[in-house]
Amino acid sequence: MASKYIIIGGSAGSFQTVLQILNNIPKDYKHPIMLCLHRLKHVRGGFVEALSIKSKIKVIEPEDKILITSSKVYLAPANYHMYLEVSNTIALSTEEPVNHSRPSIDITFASAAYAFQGKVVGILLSGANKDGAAGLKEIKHYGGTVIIQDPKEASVPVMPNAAIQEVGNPDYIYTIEQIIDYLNSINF
Amino acid sequence: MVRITTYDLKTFTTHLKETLGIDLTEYAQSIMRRRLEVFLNKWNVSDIESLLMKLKDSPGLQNKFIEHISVDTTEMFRDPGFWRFFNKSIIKQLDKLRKINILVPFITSDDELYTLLVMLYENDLLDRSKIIATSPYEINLLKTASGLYTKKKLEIAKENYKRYKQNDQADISSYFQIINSEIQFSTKLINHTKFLKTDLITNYLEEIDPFNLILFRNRMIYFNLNLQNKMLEILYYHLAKNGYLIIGYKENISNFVLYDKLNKVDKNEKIYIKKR
Repeated sequence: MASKYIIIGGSAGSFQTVLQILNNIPKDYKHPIMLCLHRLKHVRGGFVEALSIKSKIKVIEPEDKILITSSKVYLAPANYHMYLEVSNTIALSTEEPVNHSRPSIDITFASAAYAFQGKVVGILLSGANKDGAAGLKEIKHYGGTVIIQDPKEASVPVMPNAAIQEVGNPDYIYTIEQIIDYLNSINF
Repeated sequence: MVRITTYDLKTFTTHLKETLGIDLTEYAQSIMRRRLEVFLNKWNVSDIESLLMKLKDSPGLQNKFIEHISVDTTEMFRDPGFWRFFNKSIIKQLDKLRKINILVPFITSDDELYTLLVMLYENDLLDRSKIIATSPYEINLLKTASGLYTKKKLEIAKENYKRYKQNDQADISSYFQIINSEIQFSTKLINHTKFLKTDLITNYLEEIDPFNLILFRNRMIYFNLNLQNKMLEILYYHLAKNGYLIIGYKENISNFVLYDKLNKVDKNEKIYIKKR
């Protein structure tokens, strides 16, 4: 079991931000990072490679039921939802899209919230719909930390704004620089 | 909003198995928890005790529940690249056989079976094929055998089929008909399938020839590892030598005890062949 689980959700306009985060986190980062990004459903390959160019941590697209370990980035595969299990594993599903999305950020956030409770750090970035808002609320409910990208800075502020409204009292509304500083400050 | 704990889930699945013989005890917990929560909220049921009572009293609700738990939201021609590979490589091998035995186990959604039927038909293999589709639940068999399809799913199928064909003019609609404003997949094609009620977890099939192809994509993801292995053992037993076992792109059978007795056909696709 890891001591923290970093779960990042993003959609339209978040790709460069994710690259920037991964580029500024050390290779031996102590916590696993889960990435749930809206992506084209028919394009299976290429995304891991695109992230790996900037990422110092190894990026993988998990298979079903694999064990979660630290110092790895787990990218939700195209056209599957990605759940996190109490048993510290990943479960994938082909259930109906949620918020028109598969993978859905709400599903990854909500499953992490229940499975790892206070150990979860949920971060929501730029995007054009409301996916992630309900999931962040679950993270808050189970005692995790909620961080939302400052809508003033996000390329598409719809998703951060929806989340701020839904959660009511997020722990932090941060710029990307602040998100990176925060992630490095909990690297122990 | 109703929230379900792991303890609730265990209590519920244990009782459900004892009272109604529906065994969900070894399903993936996180997915089951969410599906149960969605069902309770949708049907306005306050807790699992009430749900158990209602399920006992109403066979209609039981069917709704099974359909909901079964997850029928995959797509025809899901992952078009996979089907192109299947068309290029596997069909050619099946074409060498005089008779083709195919198993589609644990159907919940019609999509994989219908896609396979289209593939066999388009390659002139359907008349030589004997296809068996199984499920422990009658409702899933009836639904698939009926051919009834939703408009929303047809739209997705159309897009996927174009991608599979790599031709924007390709149209899957000819495999569907509209009867009394309902969309129905070709019964002419479905009629090549025999539907069998069995779980293939505790039961082997009887008096059945080994299968040259077992199409089992994105079903095991709903099971825990223990249940996956139980089912794989039965499927392996029913697989012919040189027969194909196909699982989903992100499924993983490397923990399966008989994994060494299978060869992977391609580095990108999860297609395995039973060693001689």
